[in-house]
Amino acid sequence: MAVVEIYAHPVLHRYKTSICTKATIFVFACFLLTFIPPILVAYRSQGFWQREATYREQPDVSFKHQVLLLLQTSQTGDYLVWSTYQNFNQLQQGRVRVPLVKSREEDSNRDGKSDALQMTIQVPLLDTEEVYSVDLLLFFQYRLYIFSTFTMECMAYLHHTSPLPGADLTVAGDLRLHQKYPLAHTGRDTRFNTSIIDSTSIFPTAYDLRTIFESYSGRNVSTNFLTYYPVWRTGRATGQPFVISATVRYPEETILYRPGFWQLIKWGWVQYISILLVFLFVFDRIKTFVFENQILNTVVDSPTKKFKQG
Amino acid sequence: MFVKVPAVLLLLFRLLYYVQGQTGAPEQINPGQVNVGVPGQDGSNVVSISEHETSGQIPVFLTFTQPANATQDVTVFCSIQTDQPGYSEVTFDNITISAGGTDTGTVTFSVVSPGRQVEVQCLGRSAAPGTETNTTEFLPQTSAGQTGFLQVRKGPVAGFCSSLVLVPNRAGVSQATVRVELSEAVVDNEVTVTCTSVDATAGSIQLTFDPLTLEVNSTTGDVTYSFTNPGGSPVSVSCTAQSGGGGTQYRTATSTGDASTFALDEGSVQFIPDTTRTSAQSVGTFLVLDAAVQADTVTFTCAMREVEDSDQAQTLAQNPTCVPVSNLVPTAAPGTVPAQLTTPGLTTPNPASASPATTLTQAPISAQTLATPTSVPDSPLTNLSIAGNWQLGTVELVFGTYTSPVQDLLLVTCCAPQASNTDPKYQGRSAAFVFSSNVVTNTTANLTNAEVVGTPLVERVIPNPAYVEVGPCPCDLWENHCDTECCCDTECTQDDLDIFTSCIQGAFGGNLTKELAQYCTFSGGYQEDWDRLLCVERDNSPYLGLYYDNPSAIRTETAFRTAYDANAPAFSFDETERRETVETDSSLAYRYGLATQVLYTDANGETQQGFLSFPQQILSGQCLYSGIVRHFVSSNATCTQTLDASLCTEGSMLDAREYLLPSAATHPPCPTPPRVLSQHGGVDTVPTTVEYFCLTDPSLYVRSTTTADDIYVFNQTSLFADSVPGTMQKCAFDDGFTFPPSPTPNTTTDTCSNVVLDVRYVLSWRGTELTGAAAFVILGDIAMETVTPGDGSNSSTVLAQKFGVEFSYDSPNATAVDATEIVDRSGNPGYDVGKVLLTGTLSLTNDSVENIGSSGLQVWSPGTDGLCTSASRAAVTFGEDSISGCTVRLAWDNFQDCAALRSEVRAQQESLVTAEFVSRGGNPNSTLITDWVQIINNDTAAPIEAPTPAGVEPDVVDQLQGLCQDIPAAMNLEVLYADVGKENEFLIQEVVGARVSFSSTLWKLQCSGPLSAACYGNSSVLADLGNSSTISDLITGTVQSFYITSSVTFTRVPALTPAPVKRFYANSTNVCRLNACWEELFYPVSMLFADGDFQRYQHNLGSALLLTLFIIAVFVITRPWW
Repeated sequence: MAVVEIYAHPVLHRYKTSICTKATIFVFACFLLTFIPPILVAYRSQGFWQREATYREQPDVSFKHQVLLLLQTSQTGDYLVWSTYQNFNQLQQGRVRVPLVKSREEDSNRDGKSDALQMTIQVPLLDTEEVYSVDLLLFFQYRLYIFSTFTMECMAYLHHTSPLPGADLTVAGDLRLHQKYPLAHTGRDTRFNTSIIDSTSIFPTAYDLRTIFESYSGRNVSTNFLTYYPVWRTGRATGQPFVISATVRYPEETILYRPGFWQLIKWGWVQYISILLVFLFVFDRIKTFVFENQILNTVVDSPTKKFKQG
Repeated sequence: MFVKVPAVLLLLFRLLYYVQGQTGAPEQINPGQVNVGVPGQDGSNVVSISEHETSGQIPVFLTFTQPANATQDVTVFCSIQTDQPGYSEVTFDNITISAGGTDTGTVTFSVVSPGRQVEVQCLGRSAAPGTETNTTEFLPQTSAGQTGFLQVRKGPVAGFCSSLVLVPNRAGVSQATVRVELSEAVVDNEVTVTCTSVDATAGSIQLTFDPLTLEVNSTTGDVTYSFTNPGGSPVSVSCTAQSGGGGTQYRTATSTGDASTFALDEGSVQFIPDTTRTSAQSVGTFLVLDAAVQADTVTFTCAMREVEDSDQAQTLAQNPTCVPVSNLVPTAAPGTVPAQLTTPGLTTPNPASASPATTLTQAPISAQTLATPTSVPDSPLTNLSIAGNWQLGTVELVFGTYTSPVQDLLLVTCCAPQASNTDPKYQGRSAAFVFSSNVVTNTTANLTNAEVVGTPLVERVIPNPAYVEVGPCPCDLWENHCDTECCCDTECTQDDLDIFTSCIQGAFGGNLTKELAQYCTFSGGYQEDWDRLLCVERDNSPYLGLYYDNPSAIRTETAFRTAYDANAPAFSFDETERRETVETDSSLAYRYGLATQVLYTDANGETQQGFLSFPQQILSGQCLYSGIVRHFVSSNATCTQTLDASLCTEGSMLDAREYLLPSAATHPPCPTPPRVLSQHGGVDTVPTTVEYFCLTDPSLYVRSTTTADDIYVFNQTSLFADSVPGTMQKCAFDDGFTFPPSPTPNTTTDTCSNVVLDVRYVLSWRGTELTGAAAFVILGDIAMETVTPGDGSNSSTVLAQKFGVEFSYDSPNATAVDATEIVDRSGNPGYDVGKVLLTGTLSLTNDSVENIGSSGLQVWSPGTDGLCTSASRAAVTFGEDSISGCTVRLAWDNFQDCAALRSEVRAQQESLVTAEFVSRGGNPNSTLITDWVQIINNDTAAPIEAPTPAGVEPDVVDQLQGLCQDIPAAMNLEVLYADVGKENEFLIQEVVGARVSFSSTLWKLQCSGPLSAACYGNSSVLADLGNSSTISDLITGTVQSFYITSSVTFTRVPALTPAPVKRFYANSTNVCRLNACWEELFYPVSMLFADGDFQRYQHNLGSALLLTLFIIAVFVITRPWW
């Protein structure tokens, strides 16, 4: 008649000894060798503590409807300006030429965040005025939500110079985030939510591009307007304005941040435990071999023996 | 659906009212109307007569609002509705239609001048002025009925088709024919064409023309003329035509066409090419006549001479003499035989020649070979005869034997001497060509005993280096040559070896190979960890390695093609594109983007299909005058052109004849202008109408030289403009029959007349065909030079021509008299972003919106100088925020009366907002008030402040401070819009509210510093005190800029007010905070991970379920816990 296994359970062998024996020292050494080296292996193989991480988020950008425009209209220093800052316009007096500005922000994928700014500026010009250079500053409100709730005022700087007098300038580019340091993983961050141009100032120094750019480039977080393909068209017809057409896209950004404590611990634990499992297995076999073969003398408390005695 | 009901009700109500109004007034007399035409005959109201019929008739008839007959005598008087140059002009006689008759009449008119079709309106009067009663049937103000159309055609002309006619120049020929063209086919009576020379003198060609009679329906004929004194000076000839048998179609007085010049056909001859070179023993070139030889043989005699340099050759070639020159032979060394020139003759003409060799087909060549001039160097080289229909001959010079090199520059002159030619056309005509000869002496070499080195066409077989030592001697680099210092070279003799100082050991250079990172010997920096663990030892032994095969050379075309085809690169510089403009799409229907085609007449009088070209801008704004108009693609271009005397001529881009020309134009009768084809690739053309406008002040198209300093003068104030620009006049010549004039320079005034400034094509389409072409051309007289106002210096005028093409739908209803004007919608349904906002005002009858357009709500559009005086207005476009404005320049004086300043600015700002309503969508119904939203304008409630009346002292504070408060310098328009639906993935957006407001600001003069305003109190007072005009000027002068702005803001609002949400649940930012929100707990199976793609979501979900199934199965089978 065939015999079938109907149940199985492991047998536990207990090895006992006093404290000051070789076996105790061996077990203690095994304990150290099991738990300490995985830390060293995990740590020394680099990347144990996740110091920074990235995530992707499309920023919530809105055009603040603030503009500062500078056109060089001759090669000898004549220029025209216009801005939405009334104090600046007051300072410039006869150099101000009020353009026809049209802007709209598109949300093409209907996710509630604007994806691009379409802007057209038509600067009226006399036929004798030729445009050689354009400096255009557009100001934006920039918000991030997923990790740190980040808000700042940022700027798109468009600059183009040509030795040929222009009729229009068409640019399309991205408003890219520029980070010097990682952002925090949580909390509100309004460090850079300050005006780039002090529009309340009645002094010309507040509108000096050198100081504006100097302080803006010193920010830990700022934006660049990146455009690689500006088209500068020449041959302006009589009575025609100089037209700047700009498309500023707000792309999804990869944002660097410092992970929080629990994220740090979690990733460290995952690495440690995966190496520890190997050590646990190896040293378990070593200890079983040593004690099973009584290489180190111990008192064996075996359940089978008990069974026999009993 | 709901909005339609009130509209229907409204219409019903109006209809009811109308019927009641008609029936409820029986006491009113039945008013009558005077109509043009014959009752019941379509088209009878259109009358067209020739200007030769000095008077004509146009039928009229009477109708009544209620069918009735006239009971009163009616005086009918007609008038022309259009009074512009270029339109037909007539005077009408008044007639009286008696009561009780047929109620019809005929109005007689007499012709004043021909022109385009005009509309005729006839009115009636049945009572003398002042005696009208309410029973008067016909009153001038109520009796306007159906109008008619009248055209006085210009009298047709006869003329030659080319401006220059060549009188034949042949011995014994004194008669010829010339083609005459009529601008209108002959009808009714035959026409006699008479041509006479206009300015014949005793010394000119004497021409006698036979009269030509043209039959009915013909348009062309050949006039025969005889001539004497053909060598005389050219004369002008013009033709007239006269209808015979009392016909009025052609009149001698009006049918004189453009004169043509008759001149003697003086033949010309030239060499092509006229400069060549040779290094062979012969040289050849083509001798080309201007036309095929008619009857005689033209014999040329050629001579050759040596020239010093190319300058001398050019001088001699430009004035070739017909006398054989004496020094013919190139200088040769003593004892040599001079180069000899032999075997002249004609060979088959080159079909690729550029000459007009259309008749070069069969005719035999009569080559006349002269005896080789062996010893007579000063005799003519050769005689060359051209006969039959040939106009191309070949001159070939073959040198005789010679023994020394000939390196020289030689000139060959060919002429047709009078002695040997009977054709007067080519008598004495000569041509020359220069060639440089670089003929080297023939050298003799006997190669019979030459040693053959190598075996050409036999491949060298390289043995497999795996088994054979291929380089037993590495320093042996040259075959069949002893390499220096190479002792193992078997070609070195013992003598060579003896003089070698040492022997090169091994190969040159050593065995340098790249050290790869996996080599054990690697020492080149970074190495992967496993590279060190398992590094490669290598041994560069030449034996038993892998070697490249030695491919054999490909020597046949077949083998080459096989090898090439199998390995042809995907991309190369090989030219595969066509170089001529050919459209590959041969569809008969015009489709979007296809080229618009034209039919034109080429030089041979045959019609050809071509493309409608029109200036367009390419690349970064450069103007392309030969751009092709694409179907349905509108284009606009501005082309700047520095004006130059050479451009002011026929055929340049300034010539109106280079653009579309009216198809009805017949003066002059030829040539036929290109016509637009109605079908792509078809043969039918569409009628073209062109209207020409003449601009007296073309400054809009000329780059002005005014500088900003001329406008922003430090002491010149500037406020608002008070005039509107004038309109254009039609050109006087533009009567619909005449072609436009070409630009002509005027040397006395230094201007160029009739310059094309603006061209606009409107092509009408219906279905897949074009139905018409209309062009609007603006011409003007442009000064060649522009004066700079600042320094008075002159510079060339820079012209900015504007060009535009658009396509318009030709509605089948458009021909109806009361066809409504097609207006641009701004989207349907809803608004399209970027389209104009439609506005309107409430009509007085209070149930509809009128003045629909974009002019009711505008923003500032600054002019070129930015000042408000030159600023215009621009329409508000939907969805686009905007800001714009203009500059006013104010001095101290302007601040004396703030109330006046305020009211002036306010009036200007409010003139931007004249509408009361803004349309909700882009396609509003004017009678449906629900399609409209009222503009909230609280400002209109406040009355405009009146300026301080004269004599009343203005506010003291205003006077003193140089500042004015509450200036409405900024106009703000806020528009609310909502998404009201979606159609085909496009949002439907409608305006739900609009508000206009004015931001008041403080204007204050800055009173210190250079160029700041002078704040010295009332200037007039000060002027009185100082009684000096200079002080007064200075004080009133210095001005400061202030800005008037207008802005538009579009705000999206929810279509429905959203229900309030608790702050905890509100997620305004729509993001997953910390990427750890509950919605994304099962991220892989969320819609978010699938990026909104339902199929991907399904795929993810299915995979996840399968995975779960596997896990459950594993647990069920292994049963780890039970």
